This record gives sequence, C-alpha cells and structure tokens, in this order.
Amino acid sequence: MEFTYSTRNPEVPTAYSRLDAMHTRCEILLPGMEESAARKLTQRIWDMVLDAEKRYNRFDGDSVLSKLNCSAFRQKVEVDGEMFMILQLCDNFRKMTDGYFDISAPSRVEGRAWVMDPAAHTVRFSVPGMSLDLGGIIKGFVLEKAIHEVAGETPCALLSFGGSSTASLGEHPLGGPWQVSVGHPYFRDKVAQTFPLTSESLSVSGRDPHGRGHIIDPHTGNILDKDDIIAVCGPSALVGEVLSTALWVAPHSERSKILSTFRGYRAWAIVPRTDGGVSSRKL
Amino acid sequence: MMKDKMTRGEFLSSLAAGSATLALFPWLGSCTPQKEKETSGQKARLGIIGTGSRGKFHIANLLEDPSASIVALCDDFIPHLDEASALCPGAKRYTDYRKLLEDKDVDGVIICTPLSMHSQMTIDSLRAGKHSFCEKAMAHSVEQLKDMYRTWKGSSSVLMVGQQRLYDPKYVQAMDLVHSGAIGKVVGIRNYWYRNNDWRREVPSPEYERRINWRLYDEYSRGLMAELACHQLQNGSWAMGGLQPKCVTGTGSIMFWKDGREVFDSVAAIYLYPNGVHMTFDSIISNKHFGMGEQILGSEGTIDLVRGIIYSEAPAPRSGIRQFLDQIEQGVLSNSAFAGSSWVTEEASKDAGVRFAKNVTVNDGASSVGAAGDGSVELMHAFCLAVISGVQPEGIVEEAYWSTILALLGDKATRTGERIEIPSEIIY
Repeated sequence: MEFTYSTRNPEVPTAYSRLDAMHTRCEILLPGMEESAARKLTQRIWDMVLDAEKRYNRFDGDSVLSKLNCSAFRQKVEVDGEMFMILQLCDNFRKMTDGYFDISAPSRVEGRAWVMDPAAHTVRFSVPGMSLDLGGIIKGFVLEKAIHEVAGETPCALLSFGGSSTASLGEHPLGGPWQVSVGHPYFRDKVAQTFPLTSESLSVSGRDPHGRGHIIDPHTGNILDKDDIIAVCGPSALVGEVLSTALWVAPHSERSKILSTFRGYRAWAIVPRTDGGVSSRKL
Repeated sequence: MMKDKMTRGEFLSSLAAGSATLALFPWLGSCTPQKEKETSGQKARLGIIGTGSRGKFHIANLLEDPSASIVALCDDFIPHLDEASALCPGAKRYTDYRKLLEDKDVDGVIICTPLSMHSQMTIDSLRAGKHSFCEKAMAHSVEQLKDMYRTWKGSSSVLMVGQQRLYDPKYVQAMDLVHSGAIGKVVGIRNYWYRNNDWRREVPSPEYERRINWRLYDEYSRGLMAELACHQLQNGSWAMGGLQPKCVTGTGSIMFWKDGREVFDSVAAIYLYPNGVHMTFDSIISNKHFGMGEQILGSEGTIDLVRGIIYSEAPAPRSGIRQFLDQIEQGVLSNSAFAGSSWVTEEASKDAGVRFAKNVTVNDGASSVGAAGDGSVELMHAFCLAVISGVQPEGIVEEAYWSTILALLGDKATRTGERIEIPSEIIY
C-alpha cells in the first residue's frame, strides 16, 4: 500500500493512494484535501476494501461467501444484511439482463438453483455442486460505497479498481470533466476511446486479446471468446460493472434491449484492431 | 481443530465446483458437503501398515478426524510399533501385514512402508478386499507399477496414493489462473528441492542401517526422484492441461554425502512435452538456500506455486490515475488512459508480485515427514470418506500413476544418461 501527499501544485495539494487487493489495485485521488483528513478518509476506504475482500472472496476459505458455498446445499444458511442485499441485487440484475449477468455461472448449473428467504435472510442451493462467485460485482459495490464516503468530505475525487471500474466525483480540479481513456489492448501508447466523466462511473469488460478469456456465458456454460470491449458510463459504478459484463456476454442482437432496461447508462462496443485502429459503436 | 480441517475440505470442493479447472482435479468431488452428510457419524476402521515417521504423522492426523478409527497397527520393527501403540492403545498389533489383511475388523489400510514394498502390499491388500491407501510413489519399478494398476482395475476396492498436493487449495487456485490465461501461454515449468542434510535416520545398531535408512539404497529406493520429484512432477501435467511429457533426460551423482549410500545426492532431470515445453526438476541435499520451488512460467507471467504469488512479465506502466496526479502537479489538463477490461489478474508488481492464495503455508521442503497445511490432512480425510462410502475418488489413481512413472523414468534417465521415451497413455 502507498499513500502520497503532493504539494507540488500548492493551489491543488493532492493525495494519491494505492492498495493491492482483490487481485488488482485500488487507487484513490483526492485533490484539494488537507493531508490528515485525506489520510483518514483513505484509511476508511482501505478498510472497506479489505473487509469486502475478506468477506466475499470465494478463494478464501474463511470468507462469508466460501462458508455459504460450502454449506448452502446441505442446509439453509443465514447471511447478514449486506450479504443478503448483494444477493438480492444480483438476482434482480440477473432478471434485468435476461440472465446474462449470473453469479452462479461458474458452477455451470442450469437455471436459478438458489433460493432466498427474505424474511429469514437465508439462502439455500437446490442442486449439489452449486457455487456463487461475486467477482463480477464486488469491485463495483465497494466503489459505490467508497464514492459515497468520499462525497461527504470533498467535491472532487477519482477512484479506480485496476482500471476496469472507475468512479469520479465532481470535475477535474483544473476544470472540466475527468477525461478517462480506455487504452488500446494491442498498443500500450495508444488510446482506444476517451470518456469525459463528471460524477459518473466508467466500467469496462472484455477479453485479453493475448490470453484466454474467463468470462462464462451463463446460458451455455462456455467460456466466451469475443474480440470487442464494452464500456459503460453512468451514475453508478455498481450498475456499470454489472451492465458491462452482461452486455459483453450477451449476443450483439440482445445488447440494445438489455441496455434499455437501465435508465441513465450509455454503452459502447469498441473493437480494437491489430493495426492500431479502433472502431466504436454506441449501443 | 478437526472442524476447521473439515471446513477446509469442503472449501476445496466448493472451490472446484466453481472452477474452470475442475476437470483437472476431479477427485475433489469426493469431499463435497453431500458426501460428508452421507457418511456423517460413520467411521472408517483403519489398519496402519508401517508405523515409522510418516505412519505416525498420519496417525496423529487421523486421531483428530471423527471419521477415522484406527483399529490395527503393523510393523516388524518393534520400537516403531510400540510408539504407534502408545498413540493408539486400543489398536491390535501385528508384525506381519498379511495377518492384518485377514482381520475382518479392518475396512481400509494405510501403507507407509519403504517404496520397494508398496506394490506387493497394495496388491495383497486390494486382493484381500481392503480399501487401500499407499504412500507415494506407487512403486519401485515400472513393472510393479503396472501390476499394481492392473490389480486395482480388476478390484472393487478404493485405492488412493499419498500425494497431498492433490488436496492443497493453492494448487487449485493456481491452475485456475493458469487456465484462465493469466500468465499467457505456458512456456516452462521449473521444480527444485534443496536441503542440507544427509537424509539419514538414527539407527539403533548397524544391522538396522539398510532397514531404517532404506531411502539411501537402490534395493528399496529410487532416491530423490521418487521421494521428492514425484510430488512436483504433477505440476507440469496440471499446467499443461493434462498433457504428459514425451521424454526425459537427466544426470545425477553422489558428490557430497559419500557415506556408502547408493542413491544420488544431486540430480537434474529435464522432461520434454510434445509441444516443446520443458519441465525441469533438480535437487541437491547439501545446500538449502533456495529450499523448495515450483514455478509455472508463462509468456505473460509467472506463478510461484509454493508461495502462492503471481508475477507479471510486463509490470504495469505508470497508472493513468497517477498520470492525473502528474497533471495536477504540473497544472496541465489532458486525458489519461488507464481503463481496461477486467479479465486478468492485473498490475502485478515486478518485484513483489501479487498473492493469489490466502493463508498460504509456505513449505520450505525441509521436512521428510510432512508439513502443516500441505494437504495431508484433507487427503487422509478423503480416504476415510472413500472407505466409508466405498466410492473411488475419480482420477486419483491415474494421477498417481503418471507422477510415479515420470519419477521412475526420470530416475532411469539420471542413472543411464540416456533419453528415455515416455508412453503417451497409461499402459498396464
């Protein structure tokens, strides 16, 4: 982890921090804050990130999610309010995306094989071998919580999780929107597309063109192999992360229909070419 | 204590259920919560054949396992049998394993004897209708290995082999990363195991030398290839998606511990896969600086299996969000490129790497008996469940067959200096 407080521009002293977590890095830029306040705010966000990693990492045998995955076929498992809310959100997103966002996709189990009891806050799996994976939503969830925390203290900030999920607050301290660009996957020094953000989030989903994909189509159980990148801009980092994944997974013909169920969000399908060019289509 | 261990076993099965690498670890399906439920309250009645250091290591773990009941012990070296009896005072004592195999109160046996005895004892055990667990490697020779495999194929009893990495969560997580493309194309596999000790056990009197220090003599042992490499050679087939090497070359020598031993104290073997990838194993037991290492090398990254860390070949450039800091410092406004899609374990630092597995127990490989958190507890518990249910964990014998034949042919290569061809399929 790293915390830097720069006063090189005395008009806009800026705190920058980096925390390696959730298999990526969380970066926070807090312009215009006094150092001790920025340090305390950063620590609160780090605690939030580390707590979420501890609770929702299915690769950690002690996490709440692992315990659910281990036990929910044998018996109903009671979960706390936050976990239940996340699972309800995921279930709603599954419906809103015609099943293209599905936290049970890695299990390759057909249909919705988990039952939630809102009165008792319990979850039960209806088939063996079922396992939930919150990797497709949890960074957006944390980013959403963090940006609300930041908004209580400062008018402008930028938060990012490994570049795939970015949340902005207010405008760039030197004026105008934050100009956040998606890099060209084949050329490190090239930009694929730039998105001006003012109190909005940007979420990006796609496959590494140099490696194999790991996103699974919930309808077929197959690992997807597509060449495009989906970028989604909108008010919520949480919704943006879900939507970018679902749009990338969905067939091209379904994408506009799914996007239309989410008001206030814009999306682009970006196709980077090996010659350095890019084609982009707004959905 | 056991509650935590069982939870870890259940965690393993849930990990595999949601993992693209399940096909590589099919035996994890044998420790599901459903299997635990089906066998709950029942006990596997076990006999331990060979109560030396490894046998007592298993006994200590089994005494903590509610699904195990140790009912019989066998060793023809009485001091070891006495030590085991002290741990399990209610267990019957045998000095001839054939007598133990006749015991109707024994459902399953755990064979922890010198390598040269594995095959015959396991064959006899399977023929006696006992579920059988044999320490690795499976056999002292290729012919013994084939006999053992053939006998198991014709038997309805369970067979498991003591390769604890099969139940170590960090290997499942690592292979999930490998097969999701996180390190690009696999271009090499490196294994090494360094210790600085003579590999000897204390001998009460000279006539016990070959019996106690069996690892040092060709008649009983295949040296470092069978005792150490056998574990690590599995990493290659997992990383290569089940592909096996087509040949092995190697060399070995007795260059430091010149004490009458017959097995090498320094070996190096190179396995070649059909796609041109090499897997290496080397071991020296007169220097321990580097300890134990297992690394999967990819075109875009490296996975350190022992430490549970992934490294990137191309460390991330100065991040876009840091570029914003530069802009603010300089009072310059421009766009900043840092967004990208979320498919790969990202931004691994060139120096520090990113830890991909939590609560990793780093085993330095110094112990000849077993190490905490290395999967031994889960492996033994899985055997208990299999004894109770009578259901063979899928793929586990084939896994052991391959690691044994790679070790045996690697040993042959180091002894002869010849290039040894490896059959592409299991032959028995």
